[in-house]
Amino acid sequence: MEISKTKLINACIVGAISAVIFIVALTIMADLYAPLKKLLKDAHHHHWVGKGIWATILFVIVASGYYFIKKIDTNESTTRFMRALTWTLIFGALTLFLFFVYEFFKH
Amino acid sequence: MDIYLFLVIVHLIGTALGVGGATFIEIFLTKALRDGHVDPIESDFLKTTFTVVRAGLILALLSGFGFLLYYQLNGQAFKLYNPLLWAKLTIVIIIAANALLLQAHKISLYWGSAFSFVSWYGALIIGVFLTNAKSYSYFEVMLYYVIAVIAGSIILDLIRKSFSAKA
Amino acid sequence: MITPLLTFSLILHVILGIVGVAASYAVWLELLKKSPSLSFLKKSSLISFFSYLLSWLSGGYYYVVYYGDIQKPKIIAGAYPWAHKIFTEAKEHIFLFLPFAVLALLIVIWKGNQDLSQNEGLRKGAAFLAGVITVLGLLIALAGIIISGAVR
Repeated sequence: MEISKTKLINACIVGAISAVIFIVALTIMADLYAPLKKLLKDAHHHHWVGKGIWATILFVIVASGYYFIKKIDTNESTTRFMRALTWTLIFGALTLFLFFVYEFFKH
Repeated sequence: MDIYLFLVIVHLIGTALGVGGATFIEIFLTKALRDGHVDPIESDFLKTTFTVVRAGLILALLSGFGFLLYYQLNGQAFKLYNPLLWAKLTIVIIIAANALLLQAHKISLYWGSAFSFVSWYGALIIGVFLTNAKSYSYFEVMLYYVIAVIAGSIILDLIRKSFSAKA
Repeated sequence: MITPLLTFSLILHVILGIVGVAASYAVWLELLKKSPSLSFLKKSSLISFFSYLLSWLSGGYYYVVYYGDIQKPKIIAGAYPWAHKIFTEAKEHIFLFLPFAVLALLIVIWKGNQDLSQNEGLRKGAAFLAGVITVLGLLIALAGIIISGAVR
């Protein structure tokens, strides 16, 4: 694959990884720290909308940063990044689900 | 024609294509394997039948979720917790998972064809039970399903063997 | 009171969600072949991305405008409060992942081209990603049924 194509692909994958991690972290923090949730709600009408907007901004920043800063990229790194994204999705989903189960039984 | 009737018609068409297609996959496979291998023409028939089954699955799935929406929007949300519905959903997921396993060659024809055939008929029968307000627990239905898959695998294998013996 | 626009949003959310799951399943199934059809992968991944995105937006509208004020209190006060506290909370946040993940997969397929059939590692990695996206989409759909059934 040409380097610029590979960089674009990897940039999107890395952007997606950062967005997923960010969503998990922000969700847990906002649930445990009410002022953060209130801040998101006041700024964006609803905390969920705020999380979506900030995740999108982070995705664009990280993906662009990766694309413009990285000099050399390979096919092998694409495969590695894809697997990393997949595992991030799995652990992110599990973490959130278990967190909400814990919160339900705690209260 | 009201929306509910439309959903019933689409769902029945999807089911007919799926059940009919699954039946003909078994028939074509049995005929094809009489001589021990699947030739290009036989493979072509099978591929066409797989496409018909997939079209049936998509129609059944979309109309099925259409029913769930209909129940929610018409004050019948309690139907969404019917154990028969969840058994049917499980079986539909098994149909899809089985297709993946067959594609990836991670399941033998012996079990793959049994799961496909029994699952489609199982989903059809549960659909009839749902329409006729029959009451069974989820685990009861799944137990019958497992028994049917085991019995189905034995019967389908015997049929295939008897046809290849005659060839 | 539910308006026609909200009803339409809910219908769009559910139907497009199922189309998204079916399309990402089609991508997964195709990537399991040794020589997948690039044209089929491109179409399916595009349908998957736009379906998930539009389902996200229409569901988000319904959730923000109607669910929070009208349905959530009913569920929490009813016999199945866990339907909201566990399943809605998990669903609304896990669904946030999907458009980013599906976009990444879309770019891999559209820009990856011949490499998907020539590079087995790349193809298997993409199949794994498509599989997890499909399973998450499916679990989110099932969670939606649980939540809807709790509104009585």
